[in-house]
Order: sequence, then C-alpha cells, then structure tokens
Amino acid sequence: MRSFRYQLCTTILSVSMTCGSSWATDYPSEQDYFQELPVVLSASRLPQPISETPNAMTVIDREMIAASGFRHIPDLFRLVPGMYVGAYNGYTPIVAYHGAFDQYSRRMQVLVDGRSVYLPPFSYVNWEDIPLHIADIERIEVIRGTAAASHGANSSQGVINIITRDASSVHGASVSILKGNGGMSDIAAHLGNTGEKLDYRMTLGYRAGNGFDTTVLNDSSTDHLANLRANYHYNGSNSFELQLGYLEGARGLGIINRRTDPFRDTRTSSDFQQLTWSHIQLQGDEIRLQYYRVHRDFTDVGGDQKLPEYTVADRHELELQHTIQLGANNRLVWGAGIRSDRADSPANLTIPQSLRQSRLFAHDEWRMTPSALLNVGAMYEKDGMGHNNTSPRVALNYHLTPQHTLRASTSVAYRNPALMEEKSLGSGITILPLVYRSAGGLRPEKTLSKEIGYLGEFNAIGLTLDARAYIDQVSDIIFVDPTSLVSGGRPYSFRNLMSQTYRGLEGTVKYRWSERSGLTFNYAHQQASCALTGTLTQPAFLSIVQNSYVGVCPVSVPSDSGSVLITQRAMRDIQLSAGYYHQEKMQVVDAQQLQPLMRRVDLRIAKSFGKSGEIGGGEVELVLQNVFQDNYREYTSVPQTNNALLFNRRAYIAVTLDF
Amino acid sequence: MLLLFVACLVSRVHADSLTVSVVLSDSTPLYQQFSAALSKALVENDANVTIIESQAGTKPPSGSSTKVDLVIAVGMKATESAVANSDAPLLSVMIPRAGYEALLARSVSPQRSKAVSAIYLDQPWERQLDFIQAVFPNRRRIGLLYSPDAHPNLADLRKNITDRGLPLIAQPVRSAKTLFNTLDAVLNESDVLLAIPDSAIYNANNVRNILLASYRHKVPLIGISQAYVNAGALCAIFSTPEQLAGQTAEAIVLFAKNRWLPEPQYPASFSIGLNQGIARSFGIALSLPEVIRERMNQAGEERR
Repeated sequence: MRSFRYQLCTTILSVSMTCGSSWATDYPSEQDYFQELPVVLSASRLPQPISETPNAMTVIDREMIAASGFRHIPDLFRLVPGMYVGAYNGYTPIVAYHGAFDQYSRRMQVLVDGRSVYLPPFSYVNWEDIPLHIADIERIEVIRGTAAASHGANSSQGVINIITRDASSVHGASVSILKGNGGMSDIAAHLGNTGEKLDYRMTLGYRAGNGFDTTVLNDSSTDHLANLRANYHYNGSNSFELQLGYLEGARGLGIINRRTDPFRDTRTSSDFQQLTWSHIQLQGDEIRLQYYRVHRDFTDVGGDQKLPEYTVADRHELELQHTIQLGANNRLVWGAGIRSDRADSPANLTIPQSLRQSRLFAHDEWRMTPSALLNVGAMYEKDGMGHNNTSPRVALNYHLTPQHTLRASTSVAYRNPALMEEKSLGSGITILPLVYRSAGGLRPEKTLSKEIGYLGEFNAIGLTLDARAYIDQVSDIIFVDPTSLVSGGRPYSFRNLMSQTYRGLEGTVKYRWSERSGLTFNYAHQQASCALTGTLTQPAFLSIVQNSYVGVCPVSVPSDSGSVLITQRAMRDIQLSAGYYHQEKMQVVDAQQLQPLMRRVDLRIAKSFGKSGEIGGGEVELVLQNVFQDNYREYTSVPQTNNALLFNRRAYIAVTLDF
Repeated sequence: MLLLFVACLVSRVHADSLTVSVVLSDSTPLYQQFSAALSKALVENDANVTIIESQAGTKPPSGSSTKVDLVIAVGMKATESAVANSDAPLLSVMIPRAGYEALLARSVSPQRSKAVSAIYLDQPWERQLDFIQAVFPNRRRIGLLYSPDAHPNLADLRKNITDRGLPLIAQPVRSAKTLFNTLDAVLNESDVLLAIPDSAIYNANNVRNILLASYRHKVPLIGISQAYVNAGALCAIFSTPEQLAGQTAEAIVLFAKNRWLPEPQYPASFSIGLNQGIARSFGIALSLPEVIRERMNQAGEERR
C-alpha cells in the first residue's frame, strides 16, 4: 500500500507539471466565442442595488473594514448610522439599533452567510463566540429598519447580514501577527486555492486581550478559532458548498472582593456546520437548499460561593429558497424553512427546553415602470410557543432620475419571546436567591414601521447621499416584572409591559475624491418615548417601574450620534485613515446610570510592500484607538461597584505577510 | 463523426454556375446554423451557386468531382483542412483574426499562390472601444488579461487605447496558478475588464471565478459573445452566425462576378448584448441598444 501511494503521488505531480507547461499555446478559435458558459451571475440571484432595496441599508466593505482599524467585528457597527455599540465587559460587546434595554439586543437578527447566530436561551448574539475572523468578511450589509418579511422573526429593528469571503477569493496563503497594549495579541493564518471544480479557503486564528480593568473585573479572554469554506462545482448548474467553523475560548469572570462572583476562568466553545446545494436553472433561476447546525457550550466552573453552571444551545435549520425571474420586470423569491432550537441551562431553565419553528415566505420585486419599483413580501411563521405571526412589507422605490430615488415603505415585524423570558424556572443552584421565574404566557413584541427615504448619486463629483426618516411603534415590549415584595422583587418574571415609539432622521454621505481616498459620514438623530401598557404582578412596584424603565426610555437612545471615516492614499503604497465616533449621552435602560458623551478618534497608517498575494508581499499597519485619551464610559459600571468601564487609549501594530 | 453531411443545395443550376465547397469544422448546431443561414442568404441574393457541403477531416462526397471554384471554410478546423487539401481560392469565415493569422503563418508555404482571405469573427478594436466608450462614458480604465505570446494583434489594441487617451491596465498571465492574483491586481486598478478570446484564461472553468471576482470588485466584464452576457458579463458586441453568413454570401456573389476575393475583413454587422439585471446590480444605468449604436456611429463619423 505504501509504495502504491507513493506512485500515485508522483503521477499526479508529473501530470500537473505537464499541464503547467502547456499553458497558452493554443490559438484563439471560434469556440472561444461560441462555447457554452455556466450562468454565474444572474439578475434573479444578485442582491438588489441600494437604490432598489425595500429598506435603508448600510454596506461595510473590506476597504472600510481595513480603514477603520477595528479588530473586533462588533466595532464595525460604529460605522452604521443609529447603531449603538457598547461593552458589558471586555469580551461581551453590545450592538443595538435604536438604543438598548439591556445587554441583550433582542430586536435585531444577525446572520453569517444566512446562518442565524441569534441563539437561545437568552436570544442574543455572543459576538466573540462566532468562529469568524474579521479578515474573513467580504462585506456586511446592515438593514436599518424592519425586515421580518425577508429575514423572519427578531428582525424587528434591523438585520446584520455578514457575508464572508467566497471560497474562490483567497489565492495562496498569508499570516498576520498583531501586538498591542492591554494584552492585545492576534495571530491569524489564511489559506485558499481556486481550482476547476473545487475552491476553498480556510482560517486559523488566535486572539487575546485583557479587557477593561483587570484589577476589579476579570474580563480577559483568549480564543482559538478555525473555519473552512469550500465550494465544489459539480457542473455548470449544480454546486455544493460546505462551511465549518470551530472556536474555543477561555474567558475570565468575576468581580474583586465578591465571594458570590470570584475571579475565575470560564470556557466557551462553539461550532457550526453548513451545507448548501445550489441549482441554477435555465434563465438563471435558482433553487437553494441549505442546512446548518450551530452549537454553543458555555461552562462556568464556579468557585468560593459561586456554584458551577453551564449553558448548551443547539440549532438545526433547513431552508429551501427558490428565486424565479418572471419576465423582464418581475422576480419572485419564495421559500420555506424549519428550525429546531434546544437549550440546556439548569441554572436558568431547570430542564432542557426545545422549540420547533417553521416559516413560509415570499417576496416579489416588480418593476412597474422603468422608474417605479414595488417590493411586496410577507413571512408567515409559527414561533413554537403557540403564536402564528404574519409579517408583511410593502415598499415603493421611485427613480426621479436613474441617480435620484425616493422610497416609501411600511412593514410589520415580531420579536418572539426568548426561552429565558418565557420558560425561566431558575432552580436556585447558585447561592444567590432565585433570580428569574417566568410566569409564561408572553405575546411576541410587535413593531409597525413606516419610513421615507432618499438616495442620490452625484456621480460627477463622486458623492452619494442616503437619508431616511422613520417612525417605529413597538408594542407589547417584554421586560422584567418584579414579583415579590419580600426580597426586592426577586424572583423576577417577564411581562408584556410597555410600548415605545421611535422617531428619527439618519443619513450617510459618501464622498470619493480619488482611488482609495474618500470620506464616509454617518449621522443619526433619534427620539424615543415609552408608555406602560401592561399590568405588574405587584402594583407596589409601579412607581419604580415608571421611574427606572419608562422614565429612562427617552434617553435610551442618544439624541445625536455619528461617525466620520476618512481614508487617503498617500504615494502608491501608504494608506492613511482617521475615524471619529460621536455619541451624545444616553442610558441603556437597565444600566442604572447615564453613559456620558462619547468622542473618540482612531488613526491608522498602513504601508504595503511587495506584490500583494505573492511571496514577499504584505502590509504593516499601526493603529491608535481613542488617540486623545477621551476615556469614555461604557454601558455600565462594573456591576454593583463604582468602577466605571473606561475605554482608554489603545495602540497596536500588525504585520501581514503573503506567501 | 463518420456521419457525412452532404447537402447539395442548388439554388438555380446553370451551366456557368459557381461551384462552392463549404467546409464545416464539425457537425455541431453552430456550423449547421451558419450553413443554413448561408443558403438562405444566397437565395435572397439571387446567387447562381452550387454548394457542396462537407466536414473537415472527411472526404468530399463521391460524385462531386466537379471543379470547385471557391472554398468557404467555416471555423479554424475547416480552414486548417482546406489550406492543406485544396488549391481553390479560399475564404475562411467565422474565425478569430489571431487564429487565422497564426494558421496561415504556419501552414501556407510562400510559393503557393492561391487566393486566401477571411471574414473574421472578432470585432475590430476600434469598434470594441467605441462600444466601451458608448456604454460607459465615465469608466475609462480598461483592464486586460492575456497569455504572453498568444496575441500578435494586442499591439494594435494598445495603440488604439492609448490614442484615445484611455489608461490600459494590461497584465500577462503566465500560469494558471497566478491567474487569480493577477486578476485581482488588474481589477483593483480598472473600471472595466475586457475579455478577449484566450482559452487559457477565458474558459468555462475559469469564467465562474472571473465573473465572481468582477462582481466583488464591482468592475464589470465586457464579454465577447451572447454566452458571456448570459453568464454574467455586463455587455458584449458580437456577430452571429447569421450575420457572418450574410456577409459571406455577399463575398460569394462578388466572387462569382469577378473571381476576386476581398481583403480579410471584420464583420460588417454586429449585435449588442446587454445584461440589464447585472447592470442594476452593479449600479450602472445602461442606455438602450439603439442609443449605444447611435453613439458608436457618431464616434466613427467623428474620426473620419
């Protein structure tokens, strides 16, 4: 067997060498013109241009990602108008559109290549647990507004759609090493190849950081991750894509001098498997069948007076999607999906809980006239908790000229109760008194959204303007309901307690003056108001709830926020960029204290050398974050101490080498 | 391949009718389509022609020992065969210029004096550039990938592009291994990517990743045929077998009159293929084909 293998290897080697030498000796023939080619890009499968989408959308591309100097994915959302990015601790960022009620941002769906990472039982995104390196991202499409008609429940305020680099987009290998203060340390290796039938790319990564303030809060973290994306082109009309990812992290937890929350290390691991079959029909129509599984496992070993606990979450999803071009002016996407969620978290749920959800959706894009485009769609869903919801959306895009577009849209969306909200039955295995005991019977939160928008392209001067005004009315907001008069409200339950109205104006101006040199300016003005619409289990808490929830609601969004990212190519191989991030004072509802004005300036300088993608090619970069040491306060203090989480000046240097 | 196609199509047999041997490269629908269109065009031209059809690599049909006045070779393989096997004047049609010239340089010994000419399949660079400028008035940097040594007339293209003051970002692709890195480098600096008939680069296997890269970089591909436009190229100008057959019929009629073959020529008529869906996705507003054609005509007249 051994010698046979050896023989096989040499045969392959010699064949490939012969192939190499025969490169480009043929003369052009008429077959070059008349050969059959697979349909690669087709109107029915390509994303809509921003001027034709039914929602406002911000696209963050690789160039912006590089220019920002951010090394964590959640930070990128500072480049989205109206988006709040905060931190619960060094490795738990909070990303929320239209302010936040707590560290769980539950009204926004987050997808990575169509895979939902918004996980049970808490129904939020563990950003740092996604086995994804920032360099794996091709672009991020952020839908600003209600998009449940196309993305399902929990897309009630927006959708973050992370699109990773295609299997065919990495050629060769590269290694990058990053070192910075605060224990910042990253190493990543990327490898990829493109072949006639098989394309693949893979990433191996390590990242570490000390978090905010290691003396009072144990929030350092270390992650190891790996991911693979491979695409096998069986023939011109069928392809199969496999994606795999694994991450293992060690995360600190604990507060100084607290015996119920001592300094300790927790372990988290997460993985996913995703398989997609895509079949291209004649005319470029597509049938796509996708299955994925997401698994997350968190273990807290406890210590002192803190008992061990764990949370395991599993998701399986199968989705079929059919895109059909119905004539030159109409395309239809319809499909169906089933999802099975399971969560085991004895400290929160007592017994493992499962949910089986299903949905049916259709979306039609009809070009009524060359200048008027109508997007109509709806999603029908069973949430697995006894609710059947229909989320419709209608949007009209009118091109005044091909460069100037007006958009008006209205839509409805639901946010399903989290397992933790509906079924929490804390068994009290911690020494702390029982925290949550759900009464159940929650209704989904409902959002009614209306917006008008304008998109202008002033090509002659390299400028684009995207602006919108909106009003979103959220009813049946689920929030904490104090149930006991004896121990300060504990155990808490959850109820549909409030309604909230958001009004705002937001926009983006992009100006490009030369190749790789330009400016992006984002601005959002927001207003929020709340009203108590539900009844409390203990009416005695009415004034507390009025003051601490309803009263705080208007400052749960910053009145004004924005960002500016300027990038300038200097000479042929130097790229300079500066980012400014501004957020007026605000308060995440449950934070119990105001987060003051934030002003932060980041700078980056990068120099490339050699030939990109080839041996000797690469880049060296220096990034300074919060250059002016305007140490702004994060979401909250270290829980129940007076030590604010302050974002100090940070700096790192990174080198990337291509092979 | 043993199947022998013999279509002795006689439009109007006179004693002095011209005998034309039409040699097809093979029996696939492409050549059948050309042959049918040629017969139709000859009838429409009221030509007094006898056609003997055969396939390259097969013997001419028995009984057709009549003297052949003119050979029409359709495609590379047919031309190669006709150059070797016939002494009659030869008109090679539906053949890329570079392929035709390479074939002649290799096959025809200088002492042979038979008349040889061609109707090319590719569009003249001038027309191609008029088209690019008519479609994208604001996209100036033209990206080009080519295999070294494969394209003798690239120099013409360079000159044409430089004369118009357009930047050309051309990079040789020296091996399959470096194709995609070279492609990325070209796309980084270009506004459009111009495809050329170069099977080492533009083949059914590579075109998928070339188109995906073009989409990633938001740099549209300009194809060389309708198949490219269907696959995801933004646009192309090309001549169909019918259009080439019409031009061939005219050359045959001319030859019947004065026994003289015109100089090798580019296609007289061409089609414009546009992919509106791709254009929208790239955020490009495409004009109507008639408007583009009108702009091209204007550009041509201004040069005169």
